[in-house]
Amino acid sequence: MFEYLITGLLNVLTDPMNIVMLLAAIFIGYIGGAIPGVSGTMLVVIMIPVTYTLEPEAAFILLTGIYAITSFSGAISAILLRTPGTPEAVVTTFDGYPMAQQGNAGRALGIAILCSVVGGVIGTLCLITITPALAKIALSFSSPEYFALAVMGLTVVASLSGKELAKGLIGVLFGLMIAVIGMDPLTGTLRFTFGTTALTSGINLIPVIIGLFALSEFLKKSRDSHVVQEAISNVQTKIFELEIFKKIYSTMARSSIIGVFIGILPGVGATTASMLSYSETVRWSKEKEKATYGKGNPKGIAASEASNNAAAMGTLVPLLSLGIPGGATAAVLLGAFILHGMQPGPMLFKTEPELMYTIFAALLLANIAMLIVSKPFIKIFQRVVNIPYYVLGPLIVVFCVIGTYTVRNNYTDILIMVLFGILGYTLEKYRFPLATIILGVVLGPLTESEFRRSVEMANGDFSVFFTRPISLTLLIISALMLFYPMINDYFKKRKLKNTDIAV
Amino acid sequence: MSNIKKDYIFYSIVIVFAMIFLTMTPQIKITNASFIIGPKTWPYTLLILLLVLGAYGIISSFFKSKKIQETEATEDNEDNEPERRLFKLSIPIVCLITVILYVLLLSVFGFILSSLIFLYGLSFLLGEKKQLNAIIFSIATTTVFVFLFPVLLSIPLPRGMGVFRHFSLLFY
Repeated sequence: MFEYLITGLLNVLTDPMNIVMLLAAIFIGYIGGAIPGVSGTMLVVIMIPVTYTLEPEAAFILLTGIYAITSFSGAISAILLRTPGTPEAVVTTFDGYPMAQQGNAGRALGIAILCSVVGGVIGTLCLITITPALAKIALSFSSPEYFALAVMGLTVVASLSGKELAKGLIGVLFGLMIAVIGMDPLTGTLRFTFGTTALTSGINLIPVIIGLFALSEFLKKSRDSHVVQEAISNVQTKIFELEIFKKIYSTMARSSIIGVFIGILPGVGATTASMLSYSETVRWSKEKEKATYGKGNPKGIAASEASNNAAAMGTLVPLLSLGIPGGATAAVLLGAFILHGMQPGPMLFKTEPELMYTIFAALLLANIAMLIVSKPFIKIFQRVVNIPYYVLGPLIVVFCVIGTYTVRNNYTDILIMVLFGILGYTLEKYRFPLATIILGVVLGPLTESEFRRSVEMANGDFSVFFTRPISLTLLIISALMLFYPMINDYFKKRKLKNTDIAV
Repeated sequence: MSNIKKDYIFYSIVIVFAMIFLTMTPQIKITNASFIIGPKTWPYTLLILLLVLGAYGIISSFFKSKKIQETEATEDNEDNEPERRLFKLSIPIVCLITVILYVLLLSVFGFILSSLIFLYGLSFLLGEKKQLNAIIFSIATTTVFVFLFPVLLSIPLPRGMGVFRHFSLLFY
């Protein structure tokens, strides 16, 4: 493993193109993440077209690097503007903004940087050690296990849909239906192509992702385009202060570990991780201190930032080892892998070990680089943070169009993208979890073909999924994951009823 | 519109969608019958599940509405917010129309001309007050995009038709 990791590090550091991409990832990740209205997911989506002509190594250094950096950079506007640049930085606003208001913006940013680096590095180290081990186990898998794995991936829907599980399931089924359109991979039969040749090869993943995530988000944000906020300016970032470090080191370590483990669980992303770490930190504090949370307690920033960066890395574990996207950005990354002709999962470790370890090395370097480049970058981006939407909005649309067109130089794809943009915008009004559709589209082909292959393998015996121990275990876990929120709800209600009766 | 009403509409659309596709599924021609599970089984399974979930949604919305009954005061906040409007349309709708126009223009005018018009128009619609700034923004952005994608990264962009195609060939 170490040999590969060193090769990976050398790959990143000796190839000029890879260095350029790593630096570009850091730069773009900082600007994009710091601007409210551009989430990490959207940034990765709009950067996919740039990677088309790149070698896989350079392409994934750019995409995963951006992903790693945006986990931190959302904190910049969270602290200076009280508007989280990315959703996972929401919790950082709780204590970050009050601290900035008290004139300690530099200190708040410093804590965010230090904790993000520590969280990110711990997360990446876990990623490096756990992923290959998990992939090795998964190598012995055959079709029924892969089907069970895909089902497990689909059950991420439970956590993506919040209280609207029925809608989430509909989203997944709709996504799976989209994946059915085109030529059947096993028999070559055309399905739902409506007689057009444009649909023979199916609906491409990228227009769907760009439409649902980027264009619909643009339409939504255009509503409040006229609101411009004042940022706190003239900030001197202080990254390391012994006095503060003594206060936060235990919170930082605990939150990083919570973050990684929450991140590894499919479907529970960085935002949940930072919320949980925050509440844990408050719970572990002394009674006297509890009242200071939400008013500028450094531990609050530490909890949020350490855990969201660690979780962002943790989310990559199921993606790279098993091919299951743990969340929205991971689903987009999975799409990018497919676009470059690769299917993430155990086989990729066997066929492309160098690529995998180069990605790991780049993530490690990107996380460490935050420590060095944050200070000058924040100085520059204090001004960028407040880009008005009449500049940002049109740029996003042009990126959406270019990104879609360049997949296969197809004008129909642009129309499909706009269609999904409208669909996404409308569905959000119906409180619909959009990411579930992507989940269905991404995992659709795998789920169907492995299901059919398994049944073929067993000569038509459907019990094949339940007689093999690994597949059975995975299916049981899937069922638990799907129904856990319901069971949890039921017990909570019962508990509430019991206490009511007791009173 | 209340959330319950929205849910009714949503689940009804799901049922209609599933029904339409269910009627189309038998039309799939089987070209290779040697497989135990043919190409129709999977779509049938998905569509029936969609139908079931749609029906479940309608029933559960019905029970929910009974529970809430006349306490419909919990209207969506977003609907009550005073919105900025342009030509009597909400901003997202104006933006959407602009995007659709842009996409249509792309096939005729190609990337350069349509982007110049689109970037200028949209930035203006979204609140840029100075004409000159909008013009500079559209020219600068189009230049950067053309330089970055077709020139630097050799990624092709739409060229348009006829004379516009020739025009694009001057740049990329």
